[in-house]
Amino acid sequence: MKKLITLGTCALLMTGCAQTQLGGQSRVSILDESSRAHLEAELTMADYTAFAEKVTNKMLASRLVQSWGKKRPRLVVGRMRNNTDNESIRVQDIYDRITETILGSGLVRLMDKSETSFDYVVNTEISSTRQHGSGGEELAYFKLEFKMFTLSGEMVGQWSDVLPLGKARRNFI
Amino acid sequence: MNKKIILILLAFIIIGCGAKRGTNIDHLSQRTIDDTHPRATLILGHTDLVNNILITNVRVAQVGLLPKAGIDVQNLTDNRYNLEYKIVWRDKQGFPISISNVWHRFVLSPRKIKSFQSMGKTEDAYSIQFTVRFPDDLYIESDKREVESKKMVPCPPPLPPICPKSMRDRVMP
Repeated sequence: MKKLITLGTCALLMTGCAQTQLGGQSRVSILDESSRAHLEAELTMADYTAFAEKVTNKMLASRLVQSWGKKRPRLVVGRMRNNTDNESIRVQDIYDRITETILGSGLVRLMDKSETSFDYVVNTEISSTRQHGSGGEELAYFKLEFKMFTLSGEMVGQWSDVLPLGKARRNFI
Repeated sequence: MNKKIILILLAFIIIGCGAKRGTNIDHLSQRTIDDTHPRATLILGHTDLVNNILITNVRVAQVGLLPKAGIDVQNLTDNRYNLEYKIVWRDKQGFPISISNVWHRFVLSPRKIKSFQSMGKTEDAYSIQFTVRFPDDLYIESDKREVESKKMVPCPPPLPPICPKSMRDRVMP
């Protein structure tokens, strides 16, 4: 009986602290949403977020926006122009990330694109350049740019950010 | 004698498995975490970065209605580092501000100091959590595991070179 208890306790000691490994039966994993993994030299949803974060950082830190204080001017974010070589970029997703950040700041009253009465309008544009190497290398630069105008058409602010993506040489061995 | 063994084993189970399961503190003090600044928690994502990469010169200031943070990251070595950082803003109670943000990759050449800035995107933003780590995503991890698994497979001993008959004739007449 005593031997049995000793053996049981030993078994508990050995298995109790062991960590179980779950999953592993499939090749699909849920990624960390903030991870910047890329399979191709193309933008991912995390890149959209990074772009929106960085360019709105610059916009919100500008002297013009600081001077607004609690005035909360009426702002229209214009339709985003896609000047990249990839027509399938989800510009609406980038647009939504930008408006989410600006609205969250509480600094402006965000108006619809069809609104004709506003204080400022922000025109947004995404563009790209791309180079290909002979061994399958690829270098792509994406740029997001904001240009802010008053109702009278005067440009009062411009902010941009660049995201370079590089793809290494293919390894056939 | 058996009773003694059982008691010792039970003590192992209770103490060994029970350590650090959860404590009601902000975080456990480690040499990778620096919380000496009242409005910033600085985290190095790997012990290899301790004494090689320094997060320093934290500034938090009010810009208009929003807070702005500036941080420097210094390379203390002659090596080139590929890293990524993330800034999470928190309110006064310590809750993260619910604006999604992502990891940003950067390269730190030898002895270089790089500065980063971020705007707290709401008026509630108060403190930051700044993390620097080696780039990490699903594909980097799976590459690492593949390399490790290849290292673990023992190689068969090299076979003696087989010479063509004509060569053998020349060496051993």
